[in-house]
Amino acid sequence: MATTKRHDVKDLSLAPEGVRRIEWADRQMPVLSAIRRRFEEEQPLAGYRISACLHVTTETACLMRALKAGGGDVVLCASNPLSTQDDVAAALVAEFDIPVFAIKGEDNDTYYSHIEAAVDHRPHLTMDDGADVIGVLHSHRREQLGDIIAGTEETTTGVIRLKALEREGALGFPIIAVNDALTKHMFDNRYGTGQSTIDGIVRATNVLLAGKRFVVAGYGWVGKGVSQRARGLGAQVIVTEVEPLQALEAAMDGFEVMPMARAAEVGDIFCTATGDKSVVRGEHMERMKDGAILANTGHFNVEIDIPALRALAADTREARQFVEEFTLADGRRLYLIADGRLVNLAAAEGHPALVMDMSFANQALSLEYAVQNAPELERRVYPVPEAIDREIARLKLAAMGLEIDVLSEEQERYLASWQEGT
Amino acid sequence: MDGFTVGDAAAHTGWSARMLRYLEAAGLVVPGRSASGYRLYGLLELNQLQALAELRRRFGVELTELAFAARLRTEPALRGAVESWLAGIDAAPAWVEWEQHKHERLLAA
Repeated sequence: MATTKRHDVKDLSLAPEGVRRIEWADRQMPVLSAIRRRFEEEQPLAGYRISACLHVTTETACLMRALKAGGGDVVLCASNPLSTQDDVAAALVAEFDIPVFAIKGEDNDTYYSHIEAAVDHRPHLTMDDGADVIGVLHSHRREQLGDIIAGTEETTTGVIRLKALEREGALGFPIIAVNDALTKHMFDNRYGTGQSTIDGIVRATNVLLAGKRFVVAGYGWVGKGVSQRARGLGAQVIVTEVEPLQALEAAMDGFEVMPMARAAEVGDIFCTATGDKSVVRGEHMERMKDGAILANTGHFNVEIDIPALRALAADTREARQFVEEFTLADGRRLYLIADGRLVNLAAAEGHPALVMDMSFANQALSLEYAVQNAPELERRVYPVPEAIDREIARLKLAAMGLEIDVLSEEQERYLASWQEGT
Repeated sequence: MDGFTVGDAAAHTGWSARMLRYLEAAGLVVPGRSASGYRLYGLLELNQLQALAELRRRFGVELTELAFAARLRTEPALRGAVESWLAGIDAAPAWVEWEQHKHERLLAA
């Protein structure tokens, strides 16, 4: 099982280009940079081995640099064999002395052998984007579970899986669910996905949003971001929901709220953001206006019932890149963007580095927290502590050059006594 | 064999004398020189010329393309920039699909 290689990347001579791009990303990630500078002085991760399994991209490289600056002994493998940027992998090895096991387009055997190589590092701390390293440790490397202080998980589905393990009493070490942090949701889901979803729809269709009736299914973080941005561009936004609280919030935020069955009849553009399946179904498509546009920004392409759409269609053709035209029996045409896949990734550029700055700042501070609080942590899935969220917000404000007021001693006493008195 | 002059090499390989000088300038096939400065094509260069003709015929490769491929081998910065650009145009749909399958497997586990 032990690997003899110290790293495995495509081509080390790609490093200069990787360095150039990592430095660019670093300038877009002021919060993580600030953390790296503090880590350099305080060395909070000194003596700890860290195995990270993340998309090998410029932004991840900035996170790896921060961990290493903090004294961490880091290795990195890919969480997806197709998203690896070979120049970044080369730069991490050649310039930043961080072992990387990742080659873009590697086959499944190589991909999994690279995860094993990261586990061979005998980590005290793990970082995952889809529970790969955690998965290996919980299957055939269980003898290493006892070495591990804690791990982080970046994705919602990863956290769902780990919470299931926790319920079964099978979780081998504490996990911090980075996905749940407020500073992650705000930037990643509301602002990041909110913007890039609109960007993807506009790029794919060149539609003018002003004056359109834009239906958003789901008023979670992403749905809120999409709704607000669509309204900002002049669309009349309609929200569909199944949760009374979210629906009420949408209504009080000034959006029309109605069931999909009614929204289907009036909407010009539909965007699903629910995380559930079959949200836009055949019965809805049958009532849609000629020219209606369908897009999805939830994780999976099951939110729009595409088989039902195909069954309804008398004819299909590619209307333009990323846009498939479905002509129904009565001649009405419906337009599906990017085959119902995540529209912001398929038809736009996904997240700017600035969004990843907040997510990865949570990752870095969560590891520091785990090391400092190791004795108290149990084998459970923890949310990111509120103190980390506030610290990241403080760093972000500082990076934006914004200042806020500070409570006077008198005000602090007043608040404390008020809290105690009620 | 001391080597072929430009004229002999052209007659032997089917390349014109003008093309032979172009190939030399592009750094693709570089002949030696006689004491008096004439180009001399040895067995190595003649084989290279024949292989190059075959390469063009099989793959429809232009000489400018081949010169560019040679630049990719000697200029890492250029290669890195080209690789990054190519990665950018094909990355999104493929990795997104892989990501989706991964998360489906996770939920099913």
